[in-house]
Order: sequence, then C-alpha cells, then structure tokens
Amino acid sequence: MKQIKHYLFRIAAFAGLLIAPFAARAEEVDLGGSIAKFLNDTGFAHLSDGNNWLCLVMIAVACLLFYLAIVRKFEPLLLLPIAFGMLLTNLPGAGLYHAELFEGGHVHWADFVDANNVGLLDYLYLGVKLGIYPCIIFIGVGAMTDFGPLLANPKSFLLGAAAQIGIFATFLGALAIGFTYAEAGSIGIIGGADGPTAIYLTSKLSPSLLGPIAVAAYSYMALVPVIQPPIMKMLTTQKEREIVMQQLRMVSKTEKIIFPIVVTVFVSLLLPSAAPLIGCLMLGNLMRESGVVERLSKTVQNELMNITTIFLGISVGATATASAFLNLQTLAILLIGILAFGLGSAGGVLLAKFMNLFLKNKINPLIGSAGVSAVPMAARVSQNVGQEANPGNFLLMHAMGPNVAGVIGSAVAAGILLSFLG
Amino acid sequence: MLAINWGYALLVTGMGIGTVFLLLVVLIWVISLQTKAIHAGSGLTKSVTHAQTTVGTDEHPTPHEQAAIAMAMHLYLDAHDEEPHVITIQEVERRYSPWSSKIYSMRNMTMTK
Repeated sequence: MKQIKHYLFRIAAFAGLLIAPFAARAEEVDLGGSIAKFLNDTGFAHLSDGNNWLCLVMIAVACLLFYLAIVRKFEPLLLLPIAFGMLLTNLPGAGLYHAELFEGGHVHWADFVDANNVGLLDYLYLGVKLGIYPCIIFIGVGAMTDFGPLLANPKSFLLGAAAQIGIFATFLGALAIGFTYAEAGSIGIIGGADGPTAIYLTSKLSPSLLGPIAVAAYSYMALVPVIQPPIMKMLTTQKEREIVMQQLRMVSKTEKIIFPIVVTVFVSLLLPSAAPLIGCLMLGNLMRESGVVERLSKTVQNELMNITTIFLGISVGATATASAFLNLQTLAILLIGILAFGLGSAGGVLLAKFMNLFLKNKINPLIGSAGVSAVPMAARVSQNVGQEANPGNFLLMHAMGPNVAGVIGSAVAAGILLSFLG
Repeated sequence: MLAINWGYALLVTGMGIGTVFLLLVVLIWVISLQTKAIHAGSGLTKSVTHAQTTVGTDEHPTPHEQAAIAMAMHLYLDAHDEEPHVITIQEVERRYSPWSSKIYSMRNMTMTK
C-alpha cells in the first residue's frame, strides 16, 4: 500500500512538471473574458441586437411552411426544403447566407475569395443566381412530359397561350400598385404556375423578391384544386361542362421525336432569351421519346432532379431573410399572386368558350383552365370538375394538351419579359 | 405610380401576349405540317388520316364499342399474344451499403392503439 502511494506521488510530480509550462502561459488568458466572448457569440445573444428579433418571426413563418408541407402536403417536395432554407438563413450568427454577396443583382465574385465570409448557402445559391437549377429541373420535367395529347390536338396550344394572359394582366396590376418594371414582371410570372420558370425569371430580374415569389408560386400551385374549380364553374354553364370530346388520335413515335427538335430550333431562333428553358425542356423530352438513352432519361427524372430540387429549395428559402420577407411587398405579392393564378385560369376557359363559337367538334371549356402549367395538377382538376358534371366524361388526356402547352407558353412568356425588362 | 411609363407598360403587355400567341399559332402550323409530312412519308393518304381523326363518340361503332368487339373476338377466338421466348433477368437486388441497410434502421416499435 505504501509503495502504491509512493508511485502515485511520483506520477503526480511528473505530471505537474509537464503541465507547469502550460499553466504558466494560461495565466495570460482572461478566462472570464473568453466565457463572455463565447456567450456573446451565441445566436441567443445576437437575437437582442437591433432588429434581429424579427428572425424569430421568420422562424415562425418557416414553421408554418413546415406545417403546410408535412401535415397539409402542400407541394412538400419543394416547400419543405424552402422552409428549411428559410430557417437556416434566419439563425442569427450562423452566417450561412450573405445577401450582400449578390447585391445589385450581380455576383460579387471578389468577395468569394475570403472563404471565412462565405456561407454554405452562398455557394448553393450560385446555382439559382446563374440560372442552373431551374434549367436542370426543366430537363427532368421534359423527360417526364408526354407531348402526345398536344400533338394529337395542336389547337391546345391556343389554350396554353390564353392562360398566359394572367401573367401580363398581373404585370400591369403590379405596376399600378407601385412595383418597378422588373419586379412587376417577376410577380406576373407567378400566373404561369410554373415554379422553375418563376425562379429563373425572378433570379434574373429582381433577386430580392425571390423568397416571397417562390413561396407564393409553390403555395398557390398546391392550392390549384381549391383556386380553380370556383372560377371554372363560374365561367361555364352546366351544358358546357358536360361536353364530351372526341377521342384523340394516336401519335406516332416519329412525330414525338421530331417535335422537341422542331420546337427548340423554332422557339430559340424567334426568342433567344427563352432558349435555356425551352432547350432544357426539349432535351429531356427527346431523351424520353428517343428511347435510346433510357439510363439518362431515368437519371434526369429521378436522381438529378431530386438533388437539384434540394439545392434549389434550400437556396431559394435562404433568400427569405427577415429584411427581405417581412414587409408590405411580400403581402402584396401574395395577394397579386392569387389574382395572377385566377386570371390565368379564367383566360384559358374563356378562350375555349370563344373557340367553341367556330368549331364543329366542340371542346369542353374546362380543359382551358389547365393551360396554366401546374402539371399535372391543373389537368386533374379539369378531369374532376368535368366528371362532377358528367360522370362518364374523361377529360384528363384532353386537358394534358393545354397543360403541357402551358409549360411552353410560360417559358416563352418568361423569355419575352426577360428580353424586354432584363 | 406616376413614374411608370404606361405607354411602355402597355407595349410590353401587348407585345408579350401577341408574341406568345403568334409563336404558339405558328407552332400549330409547324406541327400540322410535320404531321402531314410524316403521314405522307409513311404512305398514308389524306383521306385515311381524315377518317381517323373524325371518329367521334357520337358515331357507331364508338371507340369504346370497338374495344368491346375486339375483346369479345379475342376471347372467342382464344387468341394469345406471341411470346418471344426470351428470358431476361433484371437484377433488382441492391448491393449492400451501410447507408441503406435495414439492420441499422430497425427500431423496436411499441404498439399503440
């Protein structure tokens, strides 16, 4: 026992000798100051600085979006990452996103050199700012889209065009309440009901509105089954809703393969600013229809699109900082956005009614509302409302024509706004 | 609002709507031409194409009736599709990965009402 004590004493003495130099240096460090600095660096301490308490409001907004995405299943694939991006960017002190790196609508590349001042979300946001994510998503959308119903009934293009009236009417409405041209163009595109197009155009025209516009676009797209039916019923009679349309003809594989090539060349030559969106959409479609690159087609439909959706959602959500989101502009955007959706739906229905004045084979006006490009939700709404009026009526494939025409139409409208206002 | 040049705004709107319609109308024309060219190339006459496209649900036999007749004939004649007799194996088994292993995600769930 005595020997053990002796050994222990020697070990303690040796350890003391080793620690002594460090302990001597430690005297120079202000322990109290270090703890105070640590406490001041926490996010809780930052909450009391200036207007940082607004971050708590934004965290509550993010939680509301989580509720809508998880419980109410409102476009969860995008709303959930958007809400999480919103949560991350509003954590004081975390420094994940710096709006000043993208101030004035430009990427301040020089500031990216100092990695200490750049957050993770700043790097991810570059994909939005440079217009990469929306285009990749459009490749996936193209690979998932069947243009067969549109080719079988090309008149559907007109309904897809009519639904874009909502974009331009909203553009005028936004100008009237005081938005600039670029902002009004970005708000108007909500009426196209096409998330990637809305994000693409807004990131080019008015990046400061990206958060509110993305939230409005995706929230309203999820609410298509709620927003559209009253408008459709209000503008049509029971007799019109009961119209049974003639069966669509078969479309050959050759037609489906030539279509994306023709559209890309034609639209890009006429409207070069729409080329990135249309080109990517048609590239994906050609992969699908050609049938020779099945692996690529599956990849763009699944893995590539899913990965891009995560990055797009998080980085778009990151732009919704308290200063950019909590203002009257956001409220105005949310209000005008729903108007844009309504006008787009109404435009398609009214043009279908107008076309019926001249057509021998009548079309059911309900398919007009599918011209807003919320694929395939808007087509399903046409089907459901049509079956309420006539249970034996199947409008789904007929509505898919205007629906996919709406995707092309909204991309074209975005190209026009970009060339005029960009 | 006063700072807005409404003339320009209306020009953008008019040009925008006009261009969308013009472009899509021309696309209708292009697609119709494309369809005609393909049908001409494949030896289909115009009259046949026209007849195909004008089969309406108010004419008999309707497409639904045609499907019913075809199904009845198929069952009556006891016809079967010709099988290619080629057996292919599509591998559905995934390689083991600790990231997706079921073992690591097993939980003892308590039963609740």
